[in-house]
Amino acid sequence: MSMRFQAASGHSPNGVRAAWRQFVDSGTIDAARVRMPIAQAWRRSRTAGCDPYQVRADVLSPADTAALIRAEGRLVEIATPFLAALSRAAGAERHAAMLGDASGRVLKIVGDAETVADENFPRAGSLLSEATAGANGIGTALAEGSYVELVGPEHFIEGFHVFTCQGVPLLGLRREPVGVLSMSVRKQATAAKVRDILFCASEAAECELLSERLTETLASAAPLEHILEALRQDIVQRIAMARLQFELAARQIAAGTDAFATLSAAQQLIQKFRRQAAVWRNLVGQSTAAAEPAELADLVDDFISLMETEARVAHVQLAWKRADRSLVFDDVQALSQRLLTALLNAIQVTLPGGQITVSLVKLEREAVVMLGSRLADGSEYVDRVAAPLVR
Amino acid sequence: MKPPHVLVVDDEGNLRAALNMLLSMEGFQVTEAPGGEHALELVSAGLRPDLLLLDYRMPGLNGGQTLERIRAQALDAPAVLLTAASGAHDLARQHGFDAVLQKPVGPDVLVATLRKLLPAK
Repeated sequence: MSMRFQAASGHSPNGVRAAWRQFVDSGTIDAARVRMPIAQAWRRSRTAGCDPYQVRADVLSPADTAALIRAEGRLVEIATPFLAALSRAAGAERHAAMLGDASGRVLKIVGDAETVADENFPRAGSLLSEATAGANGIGTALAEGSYVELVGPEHFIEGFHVFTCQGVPLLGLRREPVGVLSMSVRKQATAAKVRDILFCASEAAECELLSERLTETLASAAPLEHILEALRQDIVQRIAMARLQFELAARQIAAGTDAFATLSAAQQLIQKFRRQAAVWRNLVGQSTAAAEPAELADLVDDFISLMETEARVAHVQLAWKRADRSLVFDDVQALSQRLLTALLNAIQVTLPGGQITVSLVKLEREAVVMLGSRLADGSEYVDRVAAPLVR
Repeated sequence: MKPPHVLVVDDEGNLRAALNMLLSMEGFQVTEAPGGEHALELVSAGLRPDLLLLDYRMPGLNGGQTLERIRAQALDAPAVLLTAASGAHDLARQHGFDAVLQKPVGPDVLVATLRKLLPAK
């Protein structure tokens, strides 16, 4: 499984605690005892005027919290099953799975009764930005723009030293933060157990947010609306499968069984979703219509994968001969639309039970995608889509 | 007491397998069918599930056509349409499904919907 983060490692808790004490007393960092991202987070916390001995209480009123949750309703709705699955994976351990908004304001917490009921623990409406709550799983993940793990005294505020917290920002279509998923536990071993599933949850939640954008986008894609809607359904199918694999993984982790294979399967589906969604967005004309370098073999690869179900529904087999790299310079949006038209035409004229052979030929100045199949009268159907090679 | 029996009809093998594992963990007995025609064969051969869970977009018979033909074989088990189609509710009404769930669906919602539709015994 490809992970985009690294877990905390190496530094002894006592060494980190000593480094923390030195930093809050003098402002100097003992670089040998504390990880660089944590040192940076401490500096940001201190610069923001954060008190290491007290959480600055910034909690919305119940009415304002309810209004915020309503405003972020879709994010909360999408994240809720993932929070529940994270909580399930943590089992009977003390824990809290949290969803924050893009500013670090907590929207929802799911955890064991004791942790959630603790009046000192953050609750829905609490702001956990670094400026308010120091280095922590939510604020630091947003500040870093990537996964973070803070073990015990790596938190800036002493009151959080009993926790190991992890956080992953949720990114929107343009990779902008739209929220954050976080998991706080008391035992570091539990943190290790839920690390992969937290990562997978963030990816799956991002994809669900993206899949909603696909639906919204469809309304503006009139000419090929029918086929694009069918392809959108096929793409969403990947996320549906990933969601179920994710849930199975949570149950496996809770039962103490190895969930690596299940999470890997979910991860593969998520990657497939992302690639297919990118192709789909090109088809509906949401990308910039400028020429750019593109790997044609990869594009055809993703295209064939996207069209698998459509071909299956038409009882036609797609045979793609994966080719060597062919770097072309073209308007990827227009190229994708030409490929779609060519493939749809080929599917339409091919006899049920037949096969469309797709191959890539590299000529002197251009790369050509060749599509061939046999027609009802026994003749050969051939179509080609060309793109200029990068010179 | 016999576990409630669900017939899952979906052309995506991975999705069927995941649904099977998940529903089995929740105490359901699951039979898988990779398409509408296969589901009809099972019903013709005497399979009598308590619930039907059908995808819509499948090669051959779609989920709606499959349900109509199953109903024609006097199987009245409640049927759930599980689909990514944007007009899912219209499709469900048109073909006589008892409930519709939009993919991707949360497992808790899926299980709760199935339990709610289980015939009282």
